Formats: sequence, structure tokens, C-alpha cells
Amino acid sequence: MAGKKTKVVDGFSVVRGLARAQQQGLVPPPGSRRPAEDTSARPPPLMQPKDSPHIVKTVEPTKRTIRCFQCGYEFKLAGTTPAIYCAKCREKIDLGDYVIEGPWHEEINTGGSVIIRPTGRLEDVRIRAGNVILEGAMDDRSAIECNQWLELAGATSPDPRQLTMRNLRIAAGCTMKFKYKLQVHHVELLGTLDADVESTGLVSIRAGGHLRGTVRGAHLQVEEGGGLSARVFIWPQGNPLEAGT
Amino acid sequence: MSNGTQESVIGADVEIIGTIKSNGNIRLDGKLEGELQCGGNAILGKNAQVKGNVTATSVSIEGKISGNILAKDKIEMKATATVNGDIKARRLSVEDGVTFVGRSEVNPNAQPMPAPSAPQPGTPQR
Repeated sequence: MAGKKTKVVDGFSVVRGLARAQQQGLVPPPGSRRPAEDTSARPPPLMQPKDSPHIVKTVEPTKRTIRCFQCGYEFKLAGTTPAIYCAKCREKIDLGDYVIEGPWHEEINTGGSVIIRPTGRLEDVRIRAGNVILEGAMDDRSAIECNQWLELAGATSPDPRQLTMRNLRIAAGCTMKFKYKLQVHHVELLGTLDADVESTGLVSIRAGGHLRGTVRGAHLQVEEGGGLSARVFIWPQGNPLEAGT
Repeated sequence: MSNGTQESVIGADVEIIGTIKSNGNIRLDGKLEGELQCGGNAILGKNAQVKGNVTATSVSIEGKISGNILAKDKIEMKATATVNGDIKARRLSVEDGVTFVGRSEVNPNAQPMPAPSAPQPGTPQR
């Protein structure tokens, strides 16, 4: 193991490495006490670490859905990697995250996240990404296609026809008006949305959020402090009128 | 929801046709075909079925209601609630799972709403 070069360190390698270190006396055996040290100079730890070098808790990496831009195939991916090949068409998919802080002209196709900072501006460009946070501006010829969450957090409100998203989040202080019917999965409002919303998932209005217009869907959640000035059609079991026809 | 005033309870085996007026709090677990006018807080339990308008300071709904709800302060819809009608309040809380068809006018940042018409003394009435 020591002679080999390993790029990926999995849990088994960690345990084996610890066992080897114990054999060499580099790590105290399980259950043994560490020598006393002066801890008066540093603040007390938040958690009491155990003396045992055993792994007491492991966290499974979160899975995310990747969509191939070439063939549209969707698959799950756990962990992080800069790029991956589509399981169906073998096209390379970039999974990098981008932060745009100025004028931007290059097309981005990534399964990762794109953050457009308040100083950022999209100019005649198409952005395709897993998640997008739009704090900056975009001109009339730009477009954003989002496989997962699109968060609108800027002062400017882009033309909704330039935006394609699966889930929509309106950040606090942001006001968005959709002239056309908005069809999304989940909607989360911390700001104000004026739209005709058709949701297949959960419409969640947080404290400080406000929804005006119409909302149709199966699930609605309003936190205390949230506003709802709308025509509401919420049927968790499906529309009984549609079922009868 | 006890805030010092007495609470009137209408049990699950009670059916009322008419108007209920109360100055205090009221808990309804039975059926009501008519209006409910409450100066305090109204709780519509899981088995409650109301066909008529409800006016109160605050309304908590777990059952079914076909009618409009006007609350001076707050409307609270629990996950089991079914509401067919319009609602108007200053504050709103909705749990996932509700069935709600109607128009909502809830704006926490707006000016306070006028108080609902105070019912006559005597609780409850028919």
C-alpha cells in the first residue's frame, strides 16, 4: 500500500492505514489515553473527541442528479469530481463550479453550479448548469438553463422567457414577475413572486416571502410571516374534478 | 389556546344548524351548517365539518370547511385541513398536506384589518 500511489482514499484504506500506524507505534492503540497537554491557552472544543482512533461516524456523500447535455440522460453521482463521462453516450460532462464576477461571453455547460455575482453580467451567452444563483444581470440575448435549482437573488429581474429551470427559489428581498404560466417542480419563496404557478412538487412560502397570482399544485406550505394573495388550487390527492372527467 | 377566557366546546357527536356566536374561544369537533362568529379563537378539530362562513380573531383548522374564513389575526391550516372557500387574515400558516381551493388574501406587511363584527353576548347561540 505504501509503495502504491493511490488517488482515491476510501474508508477501507483509512482503516488499514490506521492499523499499520498502530503497529508502527505512530498512533496510540484504541482505548489508551493521550498524554496530558496544556489546554488552558485554547478554547474548549465544541465536541469531546474520543481517544480511540477508530472511525466512529461516517457520512455518505450526498448524491446529485447529473443530466447529460448531449443526450439528456440523467444519472446519480455521489461525491465530487471535476468531470465525468455520460453513462449512455460517453460524452464528457464538466462538473466544475463557476463564479462570474464581471462581463461574461463564454458558453458554460456544467453539471455543477454557476454563481453570477452582483458585479457579473451575462452578455449574449447561454449558461447550462445544475444549479444557478443569479445575483447579477443578464442581457436580452442571454439564457440560463438549469437542471436543478435556479435562485434569483439580484435586484434586476430578467425576462422569464430567458430562464429554464426545474426548481425555483426567490431570495429574500428579490421580486420577480412572470407574465406567462410558470411550470416548475418545487418553488421556494423568501422574496416576492407574481405569477401563475403550476407546481408538481412543493410550493413553500417562507417568512418574508409573498406569492401573488395563482397557484396550482399538490403541496403548499406557508410559514408564519409568509404572504399569499392568490387564487389557490391545492389538491394533495389530485384534482377531483379532473379525476371525474 | 387558553388565554384566560372560557372555551366553549362542541363535541364530535353534535350537529348544529344555525349560527353560533361567541365572545370567547370556541372549539368545534362536530358538524355545523351555518355561520360561526367568534370574538376569540376558533379551533375546528379533526372531525369538524362546517358549511358556512367563519369569523374569528384567529382560526385553527384541522377538519373540513366549506365557506369563507375571515380572521382578524391568524389562520392556521393543519395538515388534515380541507378548505373550500376564500380566506382573509393578517397572518397565515399552512402545513403540507392541506387541501385548499379558494382565494387567499394574506399580507403580513399590510395595515391591520378591521375587527370582525362583535357577536352578541351569550355563548353559544342558535
